[in-house]
Amino acid sequence: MKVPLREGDAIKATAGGKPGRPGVILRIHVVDGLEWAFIAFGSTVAPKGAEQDRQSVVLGAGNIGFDELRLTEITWFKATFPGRLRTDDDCIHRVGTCPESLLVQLRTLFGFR
Amino acid sequence: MGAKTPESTFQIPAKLRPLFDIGRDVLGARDRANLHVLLERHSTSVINALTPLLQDLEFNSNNPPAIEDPDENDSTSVSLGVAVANRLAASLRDSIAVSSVLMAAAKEMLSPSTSPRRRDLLEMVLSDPPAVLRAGKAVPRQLSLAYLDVLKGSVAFFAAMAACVEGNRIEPWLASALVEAFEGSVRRLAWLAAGLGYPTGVGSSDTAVDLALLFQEAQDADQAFLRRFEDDVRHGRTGVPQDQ
Repeated sequence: MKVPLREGDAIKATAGGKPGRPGVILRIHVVDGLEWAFIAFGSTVAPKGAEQDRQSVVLGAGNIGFDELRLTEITWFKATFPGRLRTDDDCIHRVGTCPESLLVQLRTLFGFR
Repeated sequence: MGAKTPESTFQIPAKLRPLFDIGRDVLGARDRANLHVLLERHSTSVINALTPLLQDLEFNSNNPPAIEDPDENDSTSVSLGVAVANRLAASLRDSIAVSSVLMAAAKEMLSPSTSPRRRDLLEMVLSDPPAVLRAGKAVPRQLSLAYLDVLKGSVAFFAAMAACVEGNRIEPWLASALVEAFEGSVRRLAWLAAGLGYPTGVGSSDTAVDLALLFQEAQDADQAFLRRFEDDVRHGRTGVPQDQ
C-alpha cells in the first residue's frame, strides 16, 4: 500500500526515462478535486550564470539533506526547475523526510515567507 | 573525543537514556559543520525522547531550581572546561527564567478569557511549528528557523550532559560549540516569548518581533503561491521538468 505523501517528504521520481530524480514536496493542494504536489526537483547540472546561481540551493556531500535525500553527487535545486505531479502518480517514490533547514531554504526559493 | 575521566557511578534513569544515546552520537562530530548536521539530524528524535518527560514535569515557577557556577572539580568543569561549564550554568539559569515565562504564555493559551485569534497565535507558536509546516499550514520562515535552533540547542545540551555524566573530557572546540548551540536556543526561546508579549530580559528579546504580522505575511504568501499553482495545473504546466 502506498503511503500518503505530505509536505516535507523527500521523493525520487522517474522522468524522461531517467529513474530517481530527487525532489522535495513543498506543497500539496487540491485542484478541481484532484490532489497535486508541488515539488522542488534536484539536478546535477550546475546553474548557468550568476542569476540562476543565486536562485538555487546546492547540496554536496556533508551538507544536511544530502544523505536524507539519498543523493550521490552534488545537486542543485533551482527556482526554475519545479515539478507538479498528482500525488497518486506511480512515478513518485517516497525516500525519506527532508531536514527542516533545507525545507525552509527550498520554500524560500519558491516564494514562501 | 578526549580522554575518559574515572568511571562515573551515576546510573542514568531509563527515561533519560534515549536522550543520552542521542547525545553520545553527537559527541562523535568531526568538526563544527558536521556537528550542526548531527544536531539537526537528531532534532526530531529529541522531541520524541523529551515528550514522555515533559508529561511528568512538575515545574514550579515560584520555586525554580538553583543553578550554581561550577568550580574546577565539578564534573561539568572536568568534561567541558571551567569557562565553558560556567557559560552552561549561566545559560541554564536563563533557560529556567524563559521557561517560567513560557509557562505563563501556555496558561494564557488555555484560559477561557483568551480571544480565539490570540489563542490561535499562541497555539501556533507554542506547538510544534515543524509539524505544522509538514501539515501544509503556513509557518513563517523565521519561526521555523527559531524552532529548529531551539531543538538543536536541546540536542547539544544532552550531548554535553552525556559527556559530563559519563565522565568524558571533550575537546574544547566541541564543548564550546555545544554550549554555544544551547545558548542560542535559549535566546531563540526568549525571542519567541517576547514576540508573544512576554519579555524575559534574556538576549536581545527586548526588540520584540510581531509574530501575528509574520503569520499574516506567511499566509498571504501561501495563498498567492496556491493561486499560481492552480493556474499552472489548469494550464497543463505539470509533470517532471527536463534537465537544464
